[in-house]
Amino acid sequence: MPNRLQYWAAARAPWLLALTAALTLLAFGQLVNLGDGSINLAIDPSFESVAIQDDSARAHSETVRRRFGGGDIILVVLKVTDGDLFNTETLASVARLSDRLAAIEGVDSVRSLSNTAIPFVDDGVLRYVQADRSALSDPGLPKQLQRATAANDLVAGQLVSRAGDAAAIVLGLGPRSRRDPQRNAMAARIRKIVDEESASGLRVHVTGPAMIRSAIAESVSRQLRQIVPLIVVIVTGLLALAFPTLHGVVLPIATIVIALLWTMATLSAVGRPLNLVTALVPPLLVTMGLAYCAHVLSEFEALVRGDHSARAGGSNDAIERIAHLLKEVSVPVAVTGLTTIAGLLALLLNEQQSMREFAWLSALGTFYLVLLSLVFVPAALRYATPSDPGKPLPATRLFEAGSQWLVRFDQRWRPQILAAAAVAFVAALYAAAHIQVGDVLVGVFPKDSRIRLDYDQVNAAMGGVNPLEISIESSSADTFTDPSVIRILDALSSWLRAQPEVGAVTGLADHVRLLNRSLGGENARGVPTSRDAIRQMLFVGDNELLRTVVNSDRSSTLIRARLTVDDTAAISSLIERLRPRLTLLPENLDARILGSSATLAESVRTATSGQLHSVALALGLIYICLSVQFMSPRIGLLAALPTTLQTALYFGALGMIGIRLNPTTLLVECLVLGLAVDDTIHYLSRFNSAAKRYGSEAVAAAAALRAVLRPVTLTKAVLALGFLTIVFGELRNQAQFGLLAAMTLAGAWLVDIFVTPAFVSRLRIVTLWDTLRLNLGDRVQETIPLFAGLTDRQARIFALMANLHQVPAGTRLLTEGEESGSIYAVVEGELAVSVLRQGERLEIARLGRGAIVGEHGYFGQKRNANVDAVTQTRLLRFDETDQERLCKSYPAIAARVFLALNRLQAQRHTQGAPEPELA
Amino acid sequence: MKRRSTIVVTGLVALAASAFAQSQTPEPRKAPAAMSVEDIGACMRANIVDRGSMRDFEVASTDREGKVSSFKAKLFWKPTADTDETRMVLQVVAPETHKGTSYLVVSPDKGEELAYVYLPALDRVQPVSGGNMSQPLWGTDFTIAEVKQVQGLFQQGDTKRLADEKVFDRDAFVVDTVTDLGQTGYTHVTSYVDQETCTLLKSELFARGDGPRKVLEASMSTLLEVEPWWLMLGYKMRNLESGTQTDLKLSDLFLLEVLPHHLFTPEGFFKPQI
Repeated sequence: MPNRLQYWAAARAPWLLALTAALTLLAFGQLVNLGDGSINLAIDPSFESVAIQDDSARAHSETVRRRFGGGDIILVVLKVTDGDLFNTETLASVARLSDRLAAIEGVDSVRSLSNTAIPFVDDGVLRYVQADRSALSDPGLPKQLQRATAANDLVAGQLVSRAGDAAAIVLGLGPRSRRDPQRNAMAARIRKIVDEESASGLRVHVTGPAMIRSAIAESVSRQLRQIVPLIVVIVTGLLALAFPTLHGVVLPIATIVIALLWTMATLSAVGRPLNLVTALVPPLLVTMGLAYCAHVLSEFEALVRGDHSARAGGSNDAIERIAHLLKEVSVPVAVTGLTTIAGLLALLLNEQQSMREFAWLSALGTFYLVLLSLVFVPAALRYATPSDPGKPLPATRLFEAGSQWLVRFDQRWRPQILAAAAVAFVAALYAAAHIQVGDVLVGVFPKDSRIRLDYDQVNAAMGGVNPLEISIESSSADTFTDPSVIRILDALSSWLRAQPEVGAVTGLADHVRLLNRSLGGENARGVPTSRDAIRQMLFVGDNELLRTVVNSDRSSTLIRARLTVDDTAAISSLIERLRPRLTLLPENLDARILGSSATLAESVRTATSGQLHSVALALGLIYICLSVQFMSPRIGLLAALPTTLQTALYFGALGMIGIRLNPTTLLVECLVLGLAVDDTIHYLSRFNSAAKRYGSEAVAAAAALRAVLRPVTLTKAVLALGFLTIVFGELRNQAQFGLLAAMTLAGAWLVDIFVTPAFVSRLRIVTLWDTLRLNLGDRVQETIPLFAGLTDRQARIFALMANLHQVPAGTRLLTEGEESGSIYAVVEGELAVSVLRQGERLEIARLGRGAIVGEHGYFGQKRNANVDAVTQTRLLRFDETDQERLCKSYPAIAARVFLALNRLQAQRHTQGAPEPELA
Repeated sequence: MKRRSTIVVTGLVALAASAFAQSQTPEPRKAPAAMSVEDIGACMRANIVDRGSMRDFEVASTDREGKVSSFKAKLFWKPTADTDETRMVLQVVAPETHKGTSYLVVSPDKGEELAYVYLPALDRVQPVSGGNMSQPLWGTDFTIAEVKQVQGLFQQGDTKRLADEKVFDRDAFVVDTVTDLGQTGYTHVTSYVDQETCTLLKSELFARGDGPRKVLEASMSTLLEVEPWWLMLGYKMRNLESGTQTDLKLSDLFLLEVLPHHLFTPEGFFKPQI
């Protein structure tokens, strides 16, 4: 029977619906500015939002950024396809583009041939040449410029390609450009201007992290406009097929929308933006929300159809039905939610701030889903028009036949299924050991996309796009005027240039060499040997460019490299080689690797290794939750096995297919955990109640599978089809996510229908909630001798393991001469013991609370008396099978019960027990 | 070829030189309300020295981290009275490591500026021609274009007068010059010129958007009257984007009627004089 709270909630459905509506309006008001309709939630797609840096590294990074300036750059490259770069027309394009780009909001600095005075020595005079607009009329300019750039390492490979066929315009971006709308507007303007300047014989390419992020944002936005409606249509259609009622379609979608609204409103209220990782929360909530709702709706339909008339009392009254619905679903949905939340909160251990935000946001969203599934959905169902109870749900026969076949299959092949699962588990662990870690930025776009083509062209022409920096500090001022130190820096730069991942490198040594060549005379080459000469050169040549590589007191320097690779695995490989190289620097120099490329690579590496720890912790927490719920470490372990197997299979699949571990694959793992826990708990919950009802694990396994097969299959089919639509999205990581999620759902379904029933089909489980609800009466140990020596909790567990049931007055429990192995203990009520003598019933005893009957049968003998219930009686029935199960699951309880039984036997022998009691 | 400034030298030398009093008698002033942009420019140029002289100046630059580096130099100025060109010599006297670093700038009335740089550690003179108007000099926040503006030469471009304002509680002309972004690094420059003394009180240099990228402000306590002329002996340039700033301080003025000829030659400009 439902409890008072469940009746209370069912009766107050209007209030609960009104409360839900009020909270939703409040959330809407928080999330949407009613004045202008804009969304009050910032979206931060910046790389910084997902970077992992400890406080010291972050502080150092900020110091270096403050010291040397700079930040994100955008490279605009004009590539000559026909003719010569150094002609007036092309140089005019560079100047015009530079001016137009410099005027864009968000662009802090522009460096190009048109605004950089390039020094060169001509006939002993140090001259400067600059292709600004006023100089373009000079016919000698192109030749002078060509000569000057070729001899200048700070220009060749930086503003002009080494091959001399491309000119670059380097845009330095300010902090404002990191904000989403400003960055997108800036990127759009740059793209427009660049397209306008492209001409015959001249192609203009533009790339850089900001452009790529903007393209990703555009793509995601396009996808939201195109694919999300498609997913909604597919999900709606499938829900309509699965639950052919209005509420069957509307309620799951409404639940998901409300939960998303509440979750995003909470994020908005705490003033945090949605970043690249927390953006993964909505698909997670959609998945979990659909699963929760499917179970509630399935139970509702079962109640309507009287499948559970024993529990529902066969009542058609709406309040009664909702109370019964709550009774059936509240524990599994709540436990599923809490266990999933515990698993998600395990991610709080991750070093990455965004991962921690993902953890609490997704846990909060799951909490909202649980709340809505248990409050909003039942309350709304009170007013739903139930479908015709006589009309079966679609594919009912298929699911019925399927569940029967599966149960037979699972029970017949149980050892083989478990062996196969064990082999798959070991193989998955082996394959998982070969998982690669890595992510790409521009690589998420198709090879023929504009953003990818631009990136590749610029990468090829200018020798790299992605920045990597090495900060080198000394505790003493004036360190970096020492010729020997500068030569060491020069050697490090040369080493970097020799690495395959590195395109261009500039540093203090390049500046000093250039200054020496400019001021030192015809024969001056390389780094000067005089420290004073270097000091004085740096003094007279101290301009903005020099300040990007050395600070004012010459105690700190920065080597700036551009990488030709975008893959974090390749960047990590470079960093692994670079680290030992940096240890060769003199002891007084402290070198650190910086730059968005390095931080991204490190972040992906750290996040994924942190992810493995988090997954292990999540599994541990799930195990603890299940152990508490089933009140047994062993059963907790068995219940956690399907989840563990699904997790292992997922990582094994990644390792086998060669899909790398990164933030995208992390989300799928969270889905795996959430769904696996959800399915296992729902199955066990159904199994548990069915086992009590039918007294047979085999029958219970069939009933449980029949109950969950439909929601589990439909949920996974709907979600898998929804995710498969993303496969056709333009971003590779999204397509990968869609495919992985669909595959994972298929794998989870196979585990649900084959492995989980096989795992648990011979279990008798007791949940914490069962024990809390069980009433054995007062002073149980004193009044029921069988429980002597047990604690209250142990007594309840034994009672639940031993089939506590109630029989009406007149029920015959034992029949004289019958062979039966059950033993009974009276909890409440009265039994009459009688024998038939010469055709007459001779009552020989009346037994009340605490009495034990049936020990003879238990020990293999025939019943020697009849036992009938005189009043409605609550009894504990247990047999040898129960005893064995108890020994395995709760050995301490089994030992005490045996002891109590032996003691009772001994007492009867010594006291001359009356015959009937030995029935 | 157009006339160019020399990257490493001209700017600060010219800035220091701007504080020298001129000898010629200024023309009678019009009423402030009636003054055109040209009138305001002429009034400012009337404060430029055209007499042989020497003075000390000190530049203190505060970098992005708040570290201050400074240098001191002596500036010798030889006006155009006896030749068709102006010659300036700058000799660094501190810090010790830079001492002796010297510049000679030859600015003909027509044609290209030419400079000579002497680094004592190399014991060599390097002729230099041309430069970049938008590049800061010697680790300071001043570019050549900005220095010329302080001199009283508005940045090249269309200049118009705006409504007067009060700056440092003084009535100021406000002029705005639209500049070539590629050449100067700015889209426009707004200057505030003291109506009483025609000294520059403040300049705001805009790259884009509503706020200035740099702000130049006079140190009002250094305003000096050498009747009938006015000199501003201290300026501060703040770069609002980078957080850096440069303070310029000028010392007393020594008028030198006779300056040794070799001081203004490529062969002798780096030799100590006083």
